[in-house]
Amino acid sequence: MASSRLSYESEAKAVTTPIEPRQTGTGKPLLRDLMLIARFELGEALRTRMLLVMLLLFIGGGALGAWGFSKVVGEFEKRTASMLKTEAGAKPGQSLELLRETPIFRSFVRAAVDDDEQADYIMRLPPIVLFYGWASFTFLPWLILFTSSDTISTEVASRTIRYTALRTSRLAYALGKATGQAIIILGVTVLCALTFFFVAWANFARFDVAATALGLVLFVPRVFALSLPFLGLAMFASMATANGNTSRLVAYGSAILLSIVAGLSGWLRDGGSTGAIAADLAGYFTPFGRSQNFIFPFGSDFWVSLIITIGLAILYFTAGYALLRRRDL
Amino acid sequence: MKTALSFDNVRKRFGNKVALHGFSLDVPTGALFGLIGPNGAGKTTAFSIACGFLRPDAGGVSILESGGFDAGHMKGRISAMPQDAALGRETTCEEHLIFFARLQGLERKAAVAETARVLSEVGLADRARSKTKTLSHGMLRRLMVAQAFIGSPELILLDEPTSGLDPRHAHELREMFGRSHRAGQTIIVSSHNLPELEQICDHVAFIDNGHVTRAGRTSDVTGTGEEIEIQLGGDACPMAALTAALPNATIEQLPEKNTLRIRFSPESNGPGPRDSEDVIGIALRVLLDNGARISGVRKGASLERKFLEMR
Repeated sequence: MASSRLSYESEAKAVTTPIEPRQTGTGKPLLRDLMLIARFELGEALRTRMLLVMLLLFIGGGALGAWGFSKVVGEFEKRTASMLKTEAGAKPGQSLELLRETPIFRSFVRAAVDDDEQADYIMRLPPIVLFYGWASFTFLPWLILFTSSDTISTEVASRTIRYTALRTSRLAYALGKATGQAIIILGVTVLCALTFFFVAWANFARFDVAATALGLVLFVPRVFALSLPFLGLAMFASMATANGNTSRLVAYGSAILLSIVAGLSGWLRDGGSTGAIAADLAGYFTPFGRSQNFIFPFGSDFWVSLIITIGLAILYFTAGYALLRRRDL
Repeated sequence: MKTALSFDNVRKRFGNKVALHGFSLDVPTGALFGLIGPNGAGKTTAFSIACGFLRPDAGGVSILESGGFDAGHMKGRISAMPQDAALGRETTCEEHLIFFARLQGLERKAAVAETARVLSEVGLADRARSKTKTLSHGMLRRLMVAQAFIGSPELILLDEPTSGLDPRHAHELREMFGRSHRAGQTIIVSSHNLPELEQICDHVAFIDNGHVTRAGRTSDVTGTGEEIEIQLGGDACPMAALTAALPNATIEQLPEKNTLRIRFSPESNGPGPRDSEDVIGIALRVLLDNGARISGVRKGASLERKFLEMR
């Protein structure tokens, strides 16, 4: 016993090193720390199975959405075939594709959209791609608010943040966390698109592989761009509060408030009331109601909306960081 | 005197509760400094302010003579073991420490080597790849200590580092603190374990009700140059002979444990002893010549007694 104790002590003494000058790495500490934190965040997401939950939510939702869409189309085609006393295809999509190629359908879409360029764009897109865009724009923000809003607040609650706050700036920490979440969202958005692709491929007749793949590839960056202000909002809630449940509550509360602002803004603006200018101005501070402009990746509306959404992401994040910067941890 | 950490009239309030008021303290560079105080005295608040976790309402803090805490500026120079901060349960010891080391500016290879070193120091080398959720309380505590020593920071603050540890591991950590101290690091330890602090610290400060009540070298605080205690093995105690041999000293016979307490002034210019060794020599000679039995001699009072006397 005594000898093992002695050998332990001598071993411990041997591993003690004198103080050496710090190695400062790349010379860009903020960027370096940000990337380290983002990578650790990804690792944590994997380890804590948070990523698994997100994958299940996004991919499961995507698979269910694509499958549901194919069922709705199939049912629509069956009923139409029954009415016309014709034979429906074995797989859904055959009649829809034939319908899309008719001049009357083109005229109908042009009349509905009221813009020839936009109508032609819609006509070129496979329906599953449009459905992916609509579903992502509608549901993704709420999923992001759910999965990302406790990123920082839980670490404040458990005081885990203190280990990091000792070693890097709060800005690098917050940006690293946001970057990690953004990478996760981008990853699951891509996987969700892939899920739509493969489920549609398995279920639809006359499946245009190239057009669907291209349509989804071009949609993913727009879905990601529109998700950024919601990530900003989630980060705001996470930085403004000190526990996970409160931050989710703040995130959803803020989102509901902003959706009401968007609704009121559109209503008052269209109504031409005296508050039209205020309503128009308020509309710039909410990411809701912009998905329409993201469906068509051209024209000034798209670019203005893109700039506004990125601006809002920065604005929400900055507001949250202003609170985190000053708060006791 | 160069200071590693300096508090100047710091004030901090949480709602109606004043945690620190008029808190001033200088920790000399290279010291192994003990922070002593009851629960709620303000030790953890002081630590948290030094580390930048909390912002003082008033007053100033200077760390390594470079002003207040700035994570970018202080990168890798200051470290701490926060008392109640959790580590991710699904992450391994190694992953945590490599991440912390890299955040301190170490490249990956150096971070891996440094992780192996500190894990070995705290006796967790064989648990490097264990998730923290599988560690016992004591192991987790040692991991928290290990992260504070990564990269050999100049200033390390440890809040109750040996709390809940078994005697062997507590001893090993004390040995580690001593080695780091000898290597030139400044270490500040807060603890309720006063014999432990007395054993390892060369400086101590008493904190009570949010301010420092006494601070200085441990030897000065415990009065090793002003007081000795002799524990007698029997009832015989030649008080008259002792008083005659040490005319400038105050001699008390304490009923508990049959102890003699001799207080003296080392600056005394009169005839008689000049330091504690002189006093011990004279007192023991008189006691033994008069048939007393000695079971122990101690220079100064214990930190525990000094602390209790202050309250």
